[in-house]
Amino acid sequence: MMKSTHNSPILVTGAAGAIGRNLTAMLLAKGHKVRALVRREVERADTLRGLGAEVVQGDLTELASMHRAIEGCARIYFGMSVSAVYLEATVNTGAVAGHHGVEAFVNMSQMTVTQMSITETTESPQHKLYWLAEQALSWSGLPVVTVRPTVFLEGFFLLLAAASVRDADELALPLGAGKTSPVSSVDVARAVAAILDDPAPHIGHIYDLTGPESADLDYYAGCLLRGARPDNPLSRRANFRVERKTSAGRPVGACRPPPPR
Amino acid sequence: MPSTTSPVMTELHKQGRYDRMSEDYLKLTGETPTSMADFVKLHAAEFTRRHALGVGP
Repeated sequence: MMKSTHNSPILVTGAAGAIGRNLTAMLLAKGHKVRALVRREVERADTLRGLGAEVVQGDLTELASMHRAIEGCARIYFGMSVSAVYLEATVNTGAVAGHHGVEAFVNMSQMTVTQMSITETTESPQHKLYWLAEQALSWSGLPVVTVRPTVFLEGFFLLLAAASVRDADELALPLGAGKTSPVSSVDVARAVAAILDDPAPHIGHIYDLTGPESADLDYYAGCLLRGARPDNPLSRRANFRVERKTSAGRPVGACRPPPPR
Repeated sequence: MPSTTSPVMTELHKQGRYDRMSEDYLKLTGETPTSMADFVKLHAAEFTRRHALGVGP
């Protein structure tokens, strides 16, 4: 039973980010010790310490940093935003994790990798990095658990759209008429916490994480209007518009959301 | 983890590549993932003008 390693901390990378922060809090609540890795000593470090985590500063692409971060940990959450050094960071962290003989390495990947294969990946160099990172980890011999979330509810509807919903009565997202099934980053953290709490049955598995519905923007606009409580002015927006943009800047047409039920 | 703003994501959405559903969250946690309706209730204040809530100009 892997609960015997309860005394060694779980390493959470990207601990200043939304998933890392929520995951840190959830693991602490389950009774685990958490070592929270942050790139820089920022204000978030105090928040993480306030939660009860041990905070370490380090760079995922540096050997010395990762030895310091991983030494004494049996379970690792590896997640970072994609960037030019993403693959380097994955391999560097994986190599050091292997050296220290970790019992679980949870890799935060991305849902579109599910549709890639050795004969066809993607035209997007960014998305391809996730596939390459998964490849490298699959050769590594590490006890990997792969998590592939789709886009985040918070990214779409808070980061990109909340201001225009609030101030311009408009939901405008560059999705065309496509359907999407965004998942909450809090749910993603909860799923990773469940894996890290008892990783043995999950080693070698791949988990796709989506929301409970796949729909187009008209549907989500309807939720915005209907989902608000009756006392919320959002529920009475008569002129609410939906723009199914086909690029970051060019709307192809606007339509009304379905009438309230 | 997914990025939010790339033009590639627009293209992939148009191709229907994000039109997918998985029950893995339920398998892992025993719970249903947050729906858009739940999410709107949770963040209602962020979608609502401050003056409409009676807390700002």
